[in-house]
Amino acid sequence: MPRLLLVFAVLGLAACQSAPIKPMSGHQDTLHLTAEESRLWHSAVELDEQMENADYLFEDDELQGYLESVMQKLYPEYGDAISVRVVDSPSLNAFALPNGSIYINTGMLTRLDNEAQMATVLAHEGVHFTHKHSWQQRRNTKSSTAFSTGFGVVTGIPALGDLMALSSIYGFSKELEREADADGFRRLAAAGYDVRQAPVTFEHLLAEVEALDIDEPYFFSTHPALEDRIESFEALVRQHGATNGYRGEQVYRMQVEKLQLELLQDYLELGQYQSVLLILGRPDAFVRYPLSAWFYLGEAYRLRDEEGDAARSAEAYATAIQLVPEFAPPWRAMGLHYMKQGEAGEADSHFSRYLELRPDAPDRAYIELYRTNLKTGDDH
Amino acid sequence: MKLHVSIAACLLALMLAGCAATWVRVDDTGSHYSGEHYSVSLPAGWMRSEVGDSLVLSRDGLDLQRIVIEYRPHEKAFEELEKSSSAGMLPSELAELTIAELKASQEEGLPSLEILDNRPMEIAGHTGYALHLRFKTDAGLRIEVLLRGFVDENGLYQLLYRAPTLHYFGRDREVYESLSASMRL
Repeated sequence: MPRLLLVFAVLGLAACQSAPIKPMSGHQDTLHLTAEESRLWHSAVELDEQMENADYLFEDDELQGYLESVMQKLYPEYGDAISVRVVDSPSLNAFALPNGSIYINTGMLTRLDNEAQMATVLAHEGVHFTHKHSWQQRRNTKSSTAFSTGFGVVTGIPALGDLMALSSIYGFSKELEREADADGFRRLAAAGYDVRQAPVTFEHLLAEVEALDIDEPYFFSTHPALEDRIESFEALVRQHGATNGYRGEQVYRMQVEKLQLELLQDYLELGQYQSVLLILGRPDAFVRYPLSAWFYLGEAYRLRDEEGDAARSAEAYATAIQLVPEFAPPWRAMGLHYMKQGEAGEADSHFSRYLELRPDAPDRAYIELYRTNLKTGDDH
Repeated sequence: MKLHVSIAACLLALMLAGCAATWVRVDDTGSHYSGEHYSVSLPAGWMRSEVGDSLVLSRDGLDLQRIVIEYRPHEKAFEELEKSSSAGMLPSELAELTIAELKASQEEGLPSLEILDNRPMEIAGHTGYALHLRFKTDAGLRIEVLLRGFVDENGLYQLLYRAPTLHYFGRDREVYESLSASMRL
């Protein structure tokens, strides 16, 4: 009897591996899952809860509603079966779980220019769900644990379990990614978006990879390589032929504006000054970003600390002070700059202005200490 | 967290070195540690282990409370960021780099990291920083951390106290304060 069970088990597995997995056709299909699929689904629900409990999410009802409205345009027949959540992480990433939960990082949102580019990402992720790519990945992958190593490095979120190996976090096989690109592109076109924005999305990712001199760790870049991906999207655009469509620049900017300066601050707090230099090095940077971003540019130069960066940072702080004189942080930064240069009078007046503008400054104790030391001539 | 990682590295090194010398109970009359770079008074009844010139202390287990004192030469001060420290660094700059190092380490709970307080502090005759941090583990447990640091011409010194907010953090904080006050170079 045990031998018979083994035979059934082997045959069952073989049958399972050879049977094609049919994509879902709408919300109703999410109600008819096999036992194995249900288990995977429930694991994904647990992961959703874990993400929420550990405060990884950026909670903003307006932004959440906006993302879900875009998803509705792309996947109208799925109703609320696909949800979108924002992860509070500066890394450029987005991923889908097998239960239709799609996550997009604040870092990704702030790097994109318009709704059409964001829709490219969401449409792609939606295909991973509707075509059951996690399920296909599980069948094709004997050990998912091999994928979980270094998850935190890629996502900006520490490892949350092996299920992540079956999400789209690392990208799926070349075939599945191509399918997600092509079907996602069709969704984008059907929803009336400007499909020419699709390759631009990947160009942003490529620029980041090149600027940070990293070996393409971002999820979009793994299968196939980013350059191939851009070419493939350009070919899809040529085949499609349309030269118009909805971009949604203004509405998109209004939605992500609240994230922009916070993201620059996050990058600096992580020591990722290269990302700030990349973002603010774009010709249209100060059209897209508030003028106070000059301060963050100065901070990025200060942290890079290469030859000439002290002067560059001082120039950027001075520009910020000139353009946004009521913005406190550059006054503090200029004070520190003058203090290091030994210009006690200038340093003190800038510190003084900083504390006037921000009486509740969280670093007040440091600034007061420095002012005292400037008066007494103490090094610290 | 970086110091979290350091502890793991310390423990691993101790395990590899053999179990016998891993943990030693500090006797009831208290004890004084005097290493190559610093000295401190140790709390009686706690367990201690040491790797090089780093000390790890706990009374009930590392997850319930831990104190870590660590010395690093300047060139190894912020390994995640690939940045050095220097004797002339301002205490606010040290605090800034310390927070960046913690965040860059991608450890559990860091996305929820809150800085409750950040101020200068005199430690062992040097002006350094004193951070009070809080974060939540993936299981939802709130952890609080006191982290202090300063530099001299040799390197960076850091003193960490970490415990769950519930019950333990408040209970053993005074032990950390006494230990911090006793530190001498």
